Amino acid sequence: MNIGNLMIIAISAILINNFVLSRFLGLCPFLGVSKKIDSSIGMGMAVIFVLTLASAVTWIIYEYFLLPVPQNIIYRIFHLFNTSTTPEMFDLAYLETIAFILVIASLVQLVEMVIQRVSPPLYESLGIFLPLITTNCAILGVAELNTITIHYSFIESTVHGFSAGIGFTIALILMAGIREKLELADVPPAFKGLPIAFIVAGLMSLAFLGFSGLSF
Amino acid sequence: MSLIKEFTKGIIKENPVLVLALGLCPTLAVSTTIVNGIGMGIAATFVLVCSNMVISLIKNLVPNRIRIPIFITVIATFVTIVKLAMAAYFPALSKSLGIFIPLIVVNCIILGRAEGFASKHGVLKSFIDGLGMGVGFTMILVILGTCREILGSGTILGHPLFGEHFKPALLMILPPGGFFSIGILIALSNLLQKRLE
Amino acid sequence: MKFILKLGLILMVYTLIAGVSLGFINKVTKPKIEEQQRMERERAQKEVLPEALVFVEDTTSGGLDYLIGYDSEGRTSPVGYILTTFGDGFSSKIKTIFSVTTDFKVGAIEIVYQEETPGLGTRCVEIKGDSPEPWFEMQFDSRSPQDLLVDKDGGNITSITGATITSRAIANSVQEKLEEFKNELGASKEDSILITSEVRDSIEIGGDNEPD
Repeated sequence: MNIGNLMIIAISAILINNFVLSRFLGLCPFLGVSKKIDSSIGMGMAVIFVLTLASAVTWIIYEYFLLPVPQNIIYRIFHLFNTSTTPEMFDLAYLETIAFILVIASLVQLVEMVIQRVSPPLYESLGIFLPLITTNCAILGVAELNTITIHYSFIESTVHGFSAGIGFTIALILMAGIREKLELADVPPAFKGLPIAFIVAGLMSLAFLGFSGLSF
Repeated sequence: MSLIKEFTKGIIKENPVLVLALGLCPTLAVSTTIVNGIGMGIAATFVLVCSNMVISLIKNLVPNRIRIPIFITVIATFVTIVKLAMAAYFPALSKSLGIFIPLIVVNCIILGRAEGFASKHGVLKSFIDGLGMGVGFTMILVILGTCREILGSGTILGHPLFGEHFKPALLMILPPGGFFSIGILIALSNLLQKRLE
Repeated sequence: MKFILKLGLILMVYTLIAGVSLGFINKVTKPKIEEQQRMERERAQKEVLPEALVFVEDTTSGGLDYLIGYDSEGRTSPVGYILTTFGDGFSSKIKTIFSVTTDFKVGAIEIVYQEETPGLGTRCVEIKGDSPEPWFEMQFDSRSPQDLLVDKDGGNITSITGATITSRAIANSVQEKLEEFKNELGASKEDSILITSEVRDSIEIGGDNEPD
């Protein structure tokens, strides 16, 4: 585990493989909550928080409950009673999608309850965004990328989740800034609303493509 | 008669992508080629139809407070079925759609139809609604996939179209091209809808 | 409290039904999926080392995992080795398997997994004209470790237009693994020759007891 490697993961998730602009994850909130800078900051914070937490928790679920490996906890428990069991008997990797989405949904619910109890002012500003997050595909996307596509370690997964959230927030705030100005612009009627937002997103994505020249 | 209406509304009047702006992430991500678009469309339609039917069947057995987690469980089950079946019988397609197969779970079209339609209507209507929405979604994927594949790689269904010396507009298959083409497509459909009225 | 418990119970029943039905589907598809993966793996192995008939996993204690290819069941002298390497591409970890000849040159490479940008990075597996193999992969055939550099880095592997990161990731990951392999095996090469000849003797002496 070295810091340099983590830095690379972070920078690539924020700039090069930006979740919204390059991986197309989390577009619904990106277009839905980007009309005002204030609300986009709130949404961004909520997403960073949930993405980091979800990365850590889903990684643990996958490695310790679903994969047929010796450290699988279900296998460990059964092994205490019957020593002839093998890890392969507890291969639940196919349940990964359903397990992840349920974990994320309950996590969001839990976070909402905890914030409400602990810090009412924070709840005031983040609260309304939290229920929307369950169906934000960036969350399930980061869980899938961490465990199945790239297979990061625990620390790497958490860093990846956190920086994916940062990347999402940067894109969201930039977009909100542009759209506030766009309100006053003279847009052809057919392009009003969503279409022009997509064109702007395309231009931003083009700009972010420039980061792909970064090499390490 | 009304069933035909339920079916066609998903294709034009309430097209999930163009009018309701749902399910955008997979639309942009997988529409780089026609084959990917068709594969994704069929997978999503299957999940949409099955989950709509099951949800309209169990709608009276679901307590209101926990209906969303239960809907998501139903959807995730069908998504996993699609994922396993695709890996077993169409490994190449499963490889190229990658992470976007499991992400059908959070495709807002499916949860949106479950919550907004199937939990209030009968099985037959929900089936037709799911089918219509699925076809509407697939149609958009195929249109976008065709435009982006022809312009971006100069091929159609993988066959070269313009000969050796054609330099394709790479931008179209890169992420910005996805954003541009969906923006233009929605603008065109706005224009068309207005003309029709 | 009782109400929440009831809701929890109902939710559990639903997930249980879902889990059981998926378990059943998994039982049906699992052998099929494993079969597909096995076929894919064997096809890739044959592709990079067609001379070999038998592949044996390396059992020495070294840090590298590789396959040893033999041209006959006798398993006397290897015709080549197969290694797997991962490179950090533009948008994915690129998995490449490649064969190594007995004089530590690359035999052939095959990119088995990549999720690079369509039209740019994915052209690393593009086939041109009637060629049996992707043009990018073919450039790697029979290169020594020091020649495994793309043109942007002063080497002479033609990189893919617009996808230097992908090209470099593949070349560098192969080079790195090959160097590592050369160091591990090169150091013990003298021993291994000795061992193989001893093994051969023992096979000749106790030939009847040999399981295969």
